[in-house]
Amino acid sequence: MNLRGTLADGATLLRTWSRAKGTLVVSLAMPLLMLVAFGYLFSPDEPERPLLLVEDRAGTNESARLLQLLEAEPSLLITRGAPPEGADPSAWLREQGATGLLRILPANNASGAPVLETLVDPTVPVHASAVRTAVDAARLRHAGGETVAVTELPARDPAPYSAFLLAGVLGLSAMLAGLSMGYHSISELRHAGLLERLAVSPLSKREWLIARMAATSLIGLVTGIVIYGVALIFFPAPPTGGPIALLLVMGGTLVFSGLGTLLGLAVKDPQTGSAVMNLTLLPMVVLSGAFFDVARLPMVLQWAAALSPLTHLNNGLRADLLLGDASTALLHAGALLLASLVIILVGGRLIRWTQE
Amino acid sequence: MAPGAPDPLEVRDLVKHYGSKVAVDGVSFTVPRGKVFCLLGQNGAGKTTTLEVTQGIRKPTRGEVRLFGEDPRTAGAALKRRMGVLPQRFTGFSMLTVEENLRYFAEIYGADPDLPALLESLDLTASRKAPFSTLSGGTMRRVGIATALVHDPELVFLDEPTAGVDPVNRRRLWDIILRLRKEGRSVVLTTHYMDEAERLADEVAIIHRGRIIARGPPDRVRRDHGGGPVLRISGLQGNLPVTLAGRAGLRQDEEGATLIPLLNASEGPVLLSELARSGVAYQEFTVREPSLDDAFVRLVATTEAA
Repeated sequence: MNLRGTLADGATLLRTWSRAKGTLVVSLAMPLLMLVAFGYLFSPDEPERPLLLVEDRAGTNESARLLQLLEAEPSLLITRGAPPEGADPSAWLREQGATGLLRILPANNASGAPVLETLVDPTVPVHASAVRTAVDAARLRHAGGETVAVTELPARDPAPYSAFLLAGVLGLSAMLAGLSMGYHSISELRHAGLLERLAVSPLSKREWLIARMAATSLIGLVTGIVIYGVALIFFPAPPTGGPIALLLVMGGTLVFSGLGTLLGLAVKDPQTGSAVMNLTLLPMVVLSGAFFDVARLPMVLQWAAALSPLTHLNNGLRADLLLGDASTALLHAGALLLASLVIILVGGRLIRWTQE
Repeated sequence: MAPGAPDPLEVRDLVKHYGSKVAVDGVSFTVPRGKVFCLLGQNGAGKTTTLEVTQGIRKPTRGEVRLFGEDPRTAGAALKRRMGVLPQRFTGFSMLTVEENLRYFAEIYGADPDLPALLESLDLTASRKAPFSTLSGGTMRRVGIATALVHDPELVFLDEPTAGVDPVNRRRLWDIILRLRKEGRSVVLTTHYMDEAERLADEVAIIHRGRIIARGPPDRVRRDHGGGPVLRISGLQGNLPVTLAGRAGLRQDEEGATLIPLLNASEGPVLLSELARSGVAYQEFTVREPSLDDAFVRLVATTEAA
């Protein structure tokens, strides 16, 4: 392995990126502008303190004590209330502008400790998390460290606007940064005669591809950190997730930079290149679930969607940022890394420095 | 190089087709150590394709290429480290400085060159911090040569190193190429400048439509194929008389002077008298021996006629 050459090639790409104002604008300024414009200026208001509705069905001293503990929790607004008979608790919860519903049920065992049932609206993930933490803390204090049964109802409501936006912007910027860095930088290399020069150098095609993909994924990481940081500062409800989302952004940039590079090498003419780029992107975007639910498509298309890196990038980001589902997000990150490996192995063989 | 070691470059019966187009047609030559070999030809004659096949970038349709005794298509990194290449269109990384460009290529080759000395030898010290995109054409070519030399190769390929370069920088590049030969490196050079080939090459091969139509030391090619002396007339005012205008090999040189092939040196005054009789004025005339340029034009004309 020509490690020095590989590192030098990657460093050169990073240096070029940091000095090219146009690329910087595309990869940083535009996603940030979108994020600030749609996440800050036009975002819906979110309550300052999570509202927890409490329904005391036990009506015992134990349940009253628990309520006292919860009311002493400064991070929560506590109000008594219960959904009407037959109403959808999740929908009712949203109508009330509350983040969670806590039901205190009569004890069903010898310990006499009340059973707690909580329904948390995940559309405001930070508030939902605060409710969970507060209920948990009160329950533990009340029970003197004893475990109390808790049933958490499955969430059905959509996640908040800001989390959707952040996941979308991160996915979009990873895809565009990867593709454009991969594809457009080939034009410069070709125009400058650098491909012919590399063809006679000891740097192998595979090493060169690894260098480019790794460097671009670092650029993806930097871009992702900046976008996430801006969301952290500007969004009224700070985003959840983080490290796994950034890992996904790196994986996404890795795959798309590989695809962009291969596309740039395969197509010499810029007009044809743009057409082929659209032809590659459009099916991936359509199958990624951005426009409609992929589960409604025929099985063949569902399989095609499962093979698309954009599907894994989007689904992974949503799993982490919207649902806080780390294991699913990591699974998607794994799929992206696997796709990168395939691109390196297969692409390294297919690459031709010059065209006949 | 050890005694008995293979020549840096041997090419035998090289043929290269692009689809139905024959780019190179049976080219053979050898480049010994410490010599400058020049492929001379018009644009599209097959010079660059020949070079790219010999470097292993393109696959030959037929024939054999040996770089230091090895097949460049299958040889590994070690062989690539023995050759340096300046492609025809090479311009470097535009966003990097001269020094950064050189460091990049040094790293690619795993070399640790004395960069200040290399920059100095190519008169690039003052430009070392300048971004590549801000350099003049001549300086860009010198940087290109520096990237080809950064790993101290034994064989250097220079594809039209002086194309589009001003006369002052051209001469600087000539000095560099002559220095490479002095250092014992072999150089394969392509050009369409005859004076360049005449000045630099130990051996020239004139390539036309993919075939070598003459080969040898420049003096010999000039002597064997250049024909007789030439009358050079500059500042010609008016049309040449019909008897001269139809003469075979009549042409203009790069400076716009008219070149008339002579059967022998004594024919010059006769033709000048004829011009005077026809009332055609001129500024200056010289009678000179045939140049490589004359040999080239005659060879191409003969090949075309055949």
